[in-house]
Amino acid sequence: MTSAAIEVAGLHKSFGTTHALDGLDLVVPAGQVAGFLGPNGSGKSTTIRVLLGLLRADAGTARLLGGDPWADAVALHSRLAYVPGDVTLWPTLTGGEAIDLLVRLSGRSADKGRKEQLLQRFELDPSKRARTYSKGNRQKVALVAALATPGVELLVLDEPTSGLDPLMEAVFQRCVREARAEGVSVLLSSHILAEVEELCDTVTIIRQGKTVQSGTLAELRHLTRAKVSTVVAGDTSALAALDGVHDLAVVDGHVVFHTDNDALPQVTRALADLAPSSLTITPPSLEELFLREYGDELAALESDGVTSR
Amino acid sequence: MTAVALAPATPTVARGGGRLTRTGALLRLALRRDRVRIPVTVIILVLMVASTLAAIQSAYPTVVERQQLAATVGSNTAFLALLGPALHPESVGAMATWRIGAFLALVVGIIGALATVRHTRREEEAGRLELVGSLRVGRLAPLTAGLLAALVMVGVASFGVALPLVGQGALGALAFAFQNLVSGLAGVGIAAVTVQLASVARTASSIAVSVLVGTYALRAAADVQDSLSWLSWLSPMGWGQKIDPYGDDRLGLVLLGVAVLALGAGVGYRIQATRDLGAGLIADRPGPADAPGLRSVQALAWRLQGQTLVTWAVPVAAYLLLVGFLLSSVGDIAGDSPQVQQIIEQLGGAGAMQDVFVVTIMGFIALAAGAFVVASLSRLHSEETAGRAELILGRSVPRTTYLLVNVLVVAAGTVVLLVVGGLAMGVGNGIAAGDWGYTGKVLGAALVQLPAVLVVVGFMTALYGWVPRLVVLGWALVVWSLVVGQLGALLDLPSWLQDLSPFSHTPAYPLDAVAPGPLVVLVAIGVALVVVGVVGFRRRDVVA
Repeated sequence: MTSAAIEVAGLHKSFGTTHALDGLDLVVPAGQVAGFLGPNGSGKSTTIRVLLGLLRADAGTARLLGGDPWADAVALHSRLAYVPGDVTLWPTLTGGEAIDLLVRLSGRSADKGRKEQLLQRFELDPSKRARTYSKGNRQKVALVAALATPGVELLVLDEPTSGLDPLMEAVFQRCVREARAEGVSVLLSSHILAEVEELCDTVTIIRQGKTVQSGTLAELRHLTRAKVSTVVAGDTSALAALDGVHDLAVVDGHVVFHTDNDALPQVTRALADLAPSSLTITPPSLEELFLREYGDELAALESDGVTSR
Repeated sequence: MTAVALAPATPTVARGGGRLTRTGALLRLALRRDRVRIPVTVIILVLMVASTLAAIQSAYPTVVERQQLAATVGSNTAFLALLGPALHPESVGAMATWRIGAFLALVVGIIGALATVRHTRREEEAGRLELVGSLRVGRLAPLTAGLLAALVMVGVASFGVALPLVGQGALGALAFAFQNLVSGLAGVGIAAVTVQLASVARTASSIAVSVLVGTYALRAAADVQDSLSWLSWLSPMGWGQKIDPYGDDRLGLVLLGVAVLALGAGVGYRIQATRDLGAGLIADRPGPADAPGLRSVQALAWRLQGQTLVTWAVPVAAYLLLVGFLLSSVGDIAGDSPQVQQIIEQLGGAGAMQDVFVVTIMGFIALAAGAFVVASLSRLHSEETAGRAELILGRSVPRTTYLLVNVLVVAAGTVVLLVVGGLAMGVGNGIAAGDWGYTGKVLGAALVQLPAVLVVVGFMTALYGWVPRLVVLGWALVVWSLVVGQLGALLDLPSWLQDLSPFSHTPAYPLDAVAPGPLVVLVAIGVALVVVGVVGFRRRDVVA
């Protein structure tokens, strides 16, 4: 398959007794933006380091732009650009120097106009020494270096917006959309769910080194329940009896419940009979999807974990 | 009463928040972080003193022999500049403290300065002070704790090095402790000011160390030239000599060090109390927005290592220039003593004395080059843990290239160090003697050290390639080589233990002819170890 920029199957990686990756699967379709979700320590950065050939996997397969990330690292790296989540720069180099250096180490030469434009968009002063930069500014240096590298087919972004303000976050999102429009594939690791929801075509949710959910956002939403909120006059017992209606609560005629997506036709028919005076149906947000996968950690007391596999 | 009494506004800020609040807790933290560094440093220094004492005892057991030593070496210009005058040949303790005193005082001063910088400006630069400052901690508590931690280090070192001498007389040993203490206190005092001047820890360290080395040179000038003897009063190492262990034992002079500390700390406190976090009097200049020259891993390695190289090359060159100037006077060492002249004739004449001196000094420079290698290649490990190696290897850079380029730049740096050192000594000698015939030999004596240094390069590369956290073992090799070089014969160590030091295989050129065999073997070992390191680095995980 050459239609995927990244294909990872059954990846394992241990550090001593810690199993950082425990059979992880991940696919980034070519030309798409793939979200890579998971809380701290779930194995996102380890996966990315395996994909960059910095770590060698213990077992499993990983293909990157049709090549082997370990054996073909050097050739592959000239076709991708990487932004780490925690950028450390050389304290005595200026931001501008670091950008030029990083672009050249990909075997490319920086397009001066493009660099200038990105510096302006990210409001970054390139003449400051790196040791004086704040976290956000160091992040900007890495972002500009990645986006200014010409001829890139894949962007590997590991929590790229940590430390950026909301204005810069918006600039970043615009840049990713532009890259996608140019046909660049993007792997975006993040725990900012709004960002992923905004940018990504597909999403992979991992937990303790394993993939627990993956698919397009629409597919994932389909797996879960929409929230229905309505005000009705009639008796709601018929509604409560329907298959696919959950957690129904009635307070003074104000009805709130969750419904399986496939039950939606019957639910709306039953609702119509109750003559609702107001009605909202909210599709599940990514946050709800995410919390569902991690609900047991959230409420550790609930021994019956909510697993979807 | 109908009049309303205007009560003073109740203070809303809780009391008990003095400017020194929590100094004790911060001091404990600082000492905890130094819990390995302090004992290791002190043990090395104590071993140096113990070995010096043992050397004097075994080589000059009688008063007559020590008087000859004082009359010849002790009054020779070269040794006057390096060690100062030998005033009390009757006492073994005095001769041991003469042999090591001025140098050790300088070392303790530098240790004090570096500890001060480490516990104050480096903490601030790393951003940890910001976190600490947000807590219920007095404004001056971090600086106070930092100074106290440095003083603990200086105190432990000063009194520790006196322990081997207690057997020679307790008062003299105390005076020797004070000789080191006066310099250590001054080092802390000087650094207390430089950490306020510079916003970068490295700059603060460089300035403080330069000042200390400068004062060492002042006392050298004072000891060589009678008309300049007043210069000695400007130098903490000069004060140390005037304390005169096992002679006059003028303990009160330690107050001069206390005065420098008080003055420096006073200035430091004044600036610290009013300045912003992270600010210094020496401001950061903006740099270039583009890097037309920074095209490759080589360019980056030169850029990063270049600064380190300069900070090593300048003192090495300055020291060897000075030694070079004094070199021709080594031949006069025999003075008027016919016995010594006879010994020297047996050794091969005055020229041979000069050769012995060159071999000894170059042995030290080789160890300094080895230390440069360990310090420089240890940085590869910190580059990796900081995540900067990942930035580079995430680009289109082969691992072999990354490692080899960095190793070659460091190896080239050692060549620069040795050539600069050899030239400096040769030029100094050429100017002083008015004869340039010896310059080539001096340069050769520097270059013949290179193969042994290359073994250190290989050792470090192999460590980094396979188990990067063990690069610290490089220091063990350098210290071991120093111990073997100084004490190997004296302690009658088994030869295989001595052979573990690559430097023990370096030919004693120009005293002896150069046999190429050992040099070829050393180079081969160095290259083989580099290859081993590259193989390991290509196979292992790069960890951030």
